[in-house]
Amino acid sequence: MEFEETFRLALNSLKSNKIRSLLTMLGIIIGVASVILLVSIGSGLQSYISQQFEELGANLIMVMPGKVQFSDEGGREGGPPGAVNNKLTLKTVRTLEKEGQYVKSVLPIVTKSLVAKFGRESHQTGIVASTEKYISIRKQDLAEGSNFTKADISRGKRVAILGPTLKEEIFGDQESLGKKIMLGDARYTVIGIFTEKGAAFGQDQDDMALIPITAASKQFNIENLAYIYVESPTADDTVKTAAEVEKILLKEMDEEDFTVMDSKDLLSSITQILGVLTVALGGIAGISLLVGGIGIMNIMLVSVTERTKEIGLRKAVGAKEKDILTQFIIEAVFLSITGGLIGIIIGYLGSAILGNFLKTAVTPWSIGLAFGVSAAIGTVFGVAPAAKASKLDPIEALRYE
Amino acid sequence: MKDKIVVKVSDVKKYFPLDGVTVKALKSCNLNIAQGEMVSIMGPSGSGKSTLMNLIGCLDKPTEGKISINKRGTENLEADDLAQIRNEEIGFVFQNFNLLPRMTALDNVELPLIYAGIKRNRRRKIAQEKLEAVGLANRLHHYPNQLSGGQQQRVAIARALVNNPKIIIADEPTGNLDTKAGMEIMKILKNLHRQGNTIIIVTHDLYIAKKSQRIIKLKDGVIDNGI
Repeated sequence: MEFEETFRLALNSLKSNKIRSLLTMLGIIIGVASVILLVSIGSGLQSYISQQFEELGANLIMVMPGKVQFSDEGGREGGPPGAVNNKLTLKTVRTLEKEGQYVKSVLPIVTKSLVAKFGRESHQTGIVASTEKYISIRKQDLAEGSNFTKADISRGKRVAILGPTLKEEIFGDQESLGKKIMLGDARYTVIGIFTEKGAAFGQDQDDMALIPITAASKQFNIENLAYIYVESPTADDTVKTAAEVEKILLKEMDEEDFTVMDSKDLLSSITQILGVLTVALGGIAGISLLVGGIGIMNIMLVSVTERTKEIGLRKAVGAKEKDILTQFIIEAVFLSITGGLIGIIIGYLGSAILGNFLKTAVTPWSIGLAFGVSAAIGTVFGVAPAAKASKLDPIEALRYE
Repeated sequence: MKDKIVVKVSDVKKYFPLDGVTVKALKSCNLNIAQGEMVSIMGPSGSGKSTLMNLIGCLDKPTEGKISINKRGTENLEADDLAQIRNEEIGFVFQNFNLLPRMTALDNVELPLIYAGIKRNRRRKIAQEKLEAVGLANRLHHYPNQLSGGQQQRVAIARALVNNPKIIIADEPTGNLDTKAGMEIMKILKNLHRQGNTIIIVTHDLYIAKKSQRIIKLKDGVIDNGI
């Protein structure tokens, strides 16, 4: 008998029992969908974090005061928490600029949270104080207005570039360029507005104002820097640059006084952790695939018993063992593959819907794996019932009630 | 016998193990059935007539002795070869019809043709012809539960005929039918016989048996008048 005929037979017998076929597939559907969904959440997280680092700049090195392993973005003000003897100053920046061969540029950063006011509107926000290089190094764009000039920085001129959130909060729809706002107790002139950047690490990056570091150190009487960005010429040089920065700094201070963080190091260790997490999530979901497979075997066994008489009759009119065997295997494989396909669609849609709330990425390997496993499950768990069916004695089977 | 022999049963014995005891269902049976004959096998229950029918129908193999179907010995054949003989040489009609409930009359009749490897379009055509021949031209797409008992048995007869078998074996074909439907079925079988088909009816009903040319009586696993 031709394969096509066997396939049609199998399909017809599944069609004649739609509800049961669907329920049998449900195990596989849920298994495949959850594998795809969980892996997509894991991979999404991974790519989200890589992207964040990429935005930060793969060729950026961060120098922080004190000795820290991993620091979160909170506690910017005056560096990481704890009693740290902060020795990073503008002088350090100048030394690095002068002595570093693998240093393209150096960006001092001071941060402070304060209240911004315009007219009657006020808003709690944060300032970032830096130089005119900030915009190019942090890859930010201006929606309107212009960047600081070198003169603004050297003279400590009170000018500010606002993030769109802050602008919206205190100006609303009004024109803001050239207007004077209060940042803390000093008056600053708005000279530019950043383009929207969105949230990173759960923080609104657009709720801020950038001011010249010189103006900030005068206004707040701050000597020390929150951290320093060092840009290396290319992303491949970051390791060399980091080593050089460390060498230069060690001449001026102790090992405990600073931390040089290479974004690549941090990124690779984070993505590695997330990778393990993703596989673990997928594995847990994989267990439900296995359970789904056992469900298929169970139903196929029941189906063989229930259809004993049918098998007997098929044999009586000339079905060979192979015909019965293939029919039942095809039924099982068809159930699991169809279940797998439906699961893929549901997993894909589910991750698209979840994508509205958090970043997801459906990976081809998770689809391939889920589909392969479901097809394999159908075959493996279909063989035993099919073999049982094909070996039935036609006389016994016909007599079965 | 001057006619060609299509079923030859020689010294056939069939023993079954049952709870550690050997049940001798058939003890040395000899039987010849000629081409075109209409034969009834009769006997009380437990006489071994079902066993004999299963052996002739190639559903089972004898413990001892030889059975030839259309001059072909069956004793050395594997399960799949027997399946092929059943497919090509034998048509079964069962007491309880044995139609597949989720298939239409046409699909049921097509079943043996599927296993014979005949293409779909031809299958449809042949199956339709056979159903028309048993008077079910207007019931092709009905399911078994939409048909009366007599109609179901006619579908089963069409199925038995569909491969143009050498032998039609009918096991109590009227056993589940009322008298009128039973008579109709016997009329169809008589007609088939008249057209030259070899028909073996297994029954315990003397009235039915008398419709055939020859009655073979089985008692305690022994045939009285097989040859």
